[in-house]
Amino acid sequence: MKIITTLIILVISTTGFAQTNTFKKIINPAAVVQKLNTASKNTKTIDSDFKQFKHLDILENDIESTGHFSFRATDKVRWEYLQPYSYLIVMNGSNMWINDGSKTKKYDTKSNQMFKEINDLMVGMLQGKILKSDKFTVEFFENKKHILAKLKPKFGEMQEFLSEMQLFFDKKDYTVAKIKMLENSEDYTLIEFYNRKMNVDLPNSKFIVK
Amino acid sequence: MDKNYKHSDLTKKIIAAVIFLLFFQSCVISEFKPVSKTYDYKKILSETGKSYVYRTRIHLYDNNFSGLIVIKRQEKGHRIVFLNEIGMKFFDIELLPDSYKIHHIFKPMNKKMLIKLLVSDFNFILLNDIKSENKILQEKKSEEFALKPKIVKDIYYFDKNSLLPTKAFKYSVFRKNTFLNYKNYKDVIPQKITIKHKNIKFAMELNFIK
Repeated sequence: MKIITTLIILVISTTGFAQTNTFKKIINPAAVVQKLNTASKNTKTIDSDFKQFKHLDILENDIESTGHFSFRATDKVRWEYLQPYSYLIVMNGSNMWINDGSKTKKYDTKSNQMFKEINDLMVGMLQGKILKSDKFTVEFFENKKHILAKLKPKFGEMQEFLSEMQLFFDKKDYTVAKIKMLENSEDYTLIEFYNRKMNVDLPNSKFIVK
Repeated sequence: MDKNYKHSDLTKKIIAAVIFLLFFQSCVISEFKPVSKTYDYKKILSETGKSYVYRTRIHLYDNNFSGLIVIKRQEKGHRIVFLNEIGMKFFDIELLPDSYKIHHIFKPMNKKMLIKLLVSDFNFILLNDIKSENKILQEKKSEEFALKPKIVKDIYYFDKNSLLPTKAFKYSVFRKNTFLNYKNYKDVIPQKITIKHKNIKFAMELNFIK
């Protein structure tokens, strides 16, 4: 009898969990898009820690890395990996610096198509501009906690790396809580943001590498 | 007359080249003497099902790539995946006993010469060209013993105590053209692997993460 009760409780709780986490398609996303746009307009800065999980189908465990992320509207991004390796990307307008742990290299995104794509993608995600981009088709879903935007690249270059990008917006403040980038295989990259602080002062020096 | 002269000139050149080759080969071999006992040398990163992640820097002519190399020993061979720090996959190659399979390769890297080089280098690093019938030689006055595969012009050096590889060379006709080093072993895992080519501007440095 005890076993049956336990099983019933387990099934109920699992179903309950699944229901709160299952995403349903938003048929008319205009209101959601409006909220996301307002939130991104009101977000002048973001300062957050992040955890990255690289899932490769051949690996038993994901490759985990952690770091710190800063954004200042409209076009300044600092993306810094701290563990288990150090790697830094700073974007400031058309300037981009990459430090691979030993050397810093400066790029002009105007003359480097690949870096321009990365720059546009990152800034676009944070400002919500990506949701209006003609490079992706977008669909919206929701569950209790998140709005999920599924973006599928329309063109070849992006499709090489991404089959789909999923942006999870927190329903509390409509800011990006996690990003999942799916590849054509079963592999993906998941980035989760935590300790998020909005509209705090971020000095210029954070977005320049000397 | 002219034709005969050319013919004999060519023959002389061929004979000179053969003599040089034989001399060169005997010079390489004379550095060694046969081992007095059988050394049960070890291959590295070869535990089936286990994966190894290395922070990697690749220098190819004037291009530098940094990222993570994942090496996984599978039943039939090794899977080698190279991704950058933010998770973008550059290549995913499976090394098989006498061939290889490309699961994914970033378009700008999809060059026959580069793929051949990567396959050859990883087979070299993983000692995949050493078969059991290979001739074993011992280096004179050294703490290491050396092993020379029969067909390929490679020489591997092993530590006599740990029986793990410490360095290796690939020879072209005239000189050593590829230098491979295994450093800072922890258990049976080299914490650092470097490989450098002399005839092409190609080098890799792998630092163990997990």
